[in-house]
Amino acid sequence: MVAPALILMAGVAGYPVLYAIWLSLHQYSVITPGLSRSVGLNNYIEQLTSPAWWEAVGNTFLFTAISVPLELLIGIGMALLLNIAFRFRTLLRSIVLLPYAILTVVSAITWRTIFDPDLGLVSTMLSSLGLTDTGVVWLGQSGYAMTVVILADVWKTAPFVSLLVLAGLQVIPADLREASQIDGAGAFRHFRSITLPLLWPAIALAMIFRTLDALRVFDLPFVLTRGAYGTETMSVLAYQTLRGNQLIGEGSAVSILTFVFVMFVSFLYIRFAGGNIRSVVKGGSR
Amino acid sequence: MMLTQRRLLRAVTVIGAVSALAVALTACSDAQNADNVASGAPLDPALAKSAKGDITVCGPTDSSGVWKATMAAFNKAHPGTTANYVELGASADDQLQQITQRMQTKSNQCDVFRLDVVWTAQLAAQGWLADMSKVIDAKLGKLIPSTAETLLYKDKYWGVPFYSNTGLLYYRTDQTKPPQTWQQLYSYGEADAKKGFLYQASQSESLTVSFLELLYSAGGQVLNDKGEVAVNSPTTVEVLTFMQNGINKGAAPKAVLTYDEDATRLAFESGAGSTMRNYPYAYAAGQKSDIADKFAVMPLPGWKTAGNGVGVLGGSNVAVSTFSKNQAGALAMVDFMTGDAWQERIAADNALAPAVSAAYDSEAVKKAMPFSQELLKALTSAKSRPVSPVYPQISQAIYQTVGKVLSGEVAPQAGATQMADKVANALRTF
Repeated sequence: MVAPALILMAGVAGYPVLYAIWLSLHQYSVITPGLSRSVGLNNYIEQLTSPAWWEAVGNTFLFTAISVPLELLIGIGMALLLNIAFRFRTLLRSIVLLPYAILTVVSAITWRTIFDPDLGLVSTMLSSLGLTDTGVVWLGQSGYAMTVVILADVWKTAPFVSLLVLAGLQVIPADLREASQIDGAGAFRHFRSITLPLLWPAIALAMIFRTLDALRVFDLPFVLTRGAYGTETMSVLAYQTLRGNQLIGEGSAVSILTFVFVMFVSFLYIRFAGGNIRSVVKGGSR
Repeated sequence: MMLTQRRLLRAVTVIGAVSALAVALTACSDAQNADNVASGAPLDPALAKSAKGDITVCGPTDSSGVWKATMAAFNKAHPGTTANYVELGASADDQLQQITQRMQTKSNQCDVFRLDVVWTAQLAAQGWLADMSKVIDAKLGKLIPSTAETLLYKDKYWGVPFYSNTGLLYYRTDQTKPPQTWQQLYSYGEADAKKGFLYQASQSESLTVSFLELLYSAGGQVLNDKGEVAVNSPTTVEVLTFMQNGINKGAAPKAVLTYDEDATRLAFESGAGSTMRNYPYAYAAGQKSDIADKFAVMPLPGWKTAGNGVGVLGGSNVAVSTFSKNQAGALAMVDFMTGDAWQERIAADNALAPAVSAAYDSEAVKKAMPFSQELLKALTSAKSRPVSPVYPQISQAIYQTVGKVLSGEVAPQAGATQMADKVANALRTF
């Protein structure tokens, strides 16, 4: 009964993955067309022993470890504010979502302009405040470049988190607030003991989405710096190897390794956060 | 519960089997077309006289209109033929991908291709370009010799230069004297941070070019005549040290680390420096800016001693596809594009640098490009980037290493070693 669906899945998901694995076990000639040779796990060994790969892994995890918590904190804060009844709430809700609606590449180009060392808004502001005499070269220094990439990502996706959390907030019954008030709970106590636990499934969902997205981040570093100055992520490295250098086997190995790393992290999430979601939901509906 | 699990297992097996079969099929088809590198006799230039029928030229998105104008002029001059133009995309990467896809399927859609100067080896090695040695031999007396150099791979020419391009030095006539040497050029910014040298150092092909121009000017090389790695040399260390000091001492502002060509031009126009390395296109743009009439153009300066430095060649070559069904027509097109008359026109109308030296004497060209004599000098001493099928990897090895040296992460000596190792690694690609 499920055969047609499974065959479709095999075609669109299974085949490309297996084909990429097969490619990653070969080396393709850049010089002679059609020539290839089987190299076993050599492409993987080469990557796993290369500093470039581990640098990319480090950059990707650094990006994820800083951007995701920031997005969650800001997103939850925004959602709590937007959940309060006030005039123009609907209007404000749509405005808050705007950054998420803008194409990442477009917003990346905007950020690049803002952080331009000579004419950019940030440099101009800092120097007019007298904080720096000459423009800071944000996208031309290690550390600074990653800061801009993270900032651009937080700006863009915190609204997405707030949307998910807001949806979670709306299903919390209002009478719980009255009940906790009668029991003498203050606003903070109410948030900690009632809102947060009931909100946890939505937060966990946002966290999973954001982490998996962050681990395969490509567009922001690619547009902002082309992976220079400590912003080369696993996906950017895969692109450079596969498309830029036309090393099909080696590039596929990088892609597969990226895939394995992301798989591993999502496995951990489903194992731990996933169990949590169930228990929270059960606890909440009791 | 057990049943669904068993079903799932069976389904997974089916997926696996189907995919494995597909993989095996692809493997077979791949093995079949393992045919070979460039072969076949060189095209006879006389063939162009018998041109007729349709000719399709494939090249970049025609934003300046030069390609369509070329087609129209060709059709007017050749009543028996019809030339069409197909746009393959705005960026060089897109065009290369489009060309590769067509060639891999042996498509005969395009008779003539526009090639970036660094693609020659890569495409010729695949056997996709017709041997144009005889055509070039017939034109060699007219061409600026360096422009033909970009087409030389395995002792044969694989296309014809359409227009050329190279780095020039722009300087503010109201702020500085024209520098005689790179050392003098770098001293301006060290003395006054507002008078620094602006160049392209964002980690990309642009930085490779900026580095090569210094390396070539200093007499260094990346690959020697035999194609072996020659970049781990005292000259490389000296150039890297020079560039690193330049950033540290303010000869060039740190902002150059993010500059591509256009960012450099905008910074120069806004007065961020007194000198700039850029392509000829920046001249016309500069005339419309605040610093119009306050700048002049010269060839890159010499290394340590006065004289012309060495720029890196850019521009566009045109090549004939081996799968073309109308090679006579393709030859006629190529011949027309590189003819004296049309070379003058593209310079006068589009400010492109002609590949034919006689065009630089034309009054119309001198009027359209007041710096044409400087440009001719620069092109005459310019050199091509390493000609190799693995050039993308070589370029990446260069710009990544130079970027690390410029930002102080790697010392010049270690940089030269790293660069040589990476280039050697790239050459080992089979």
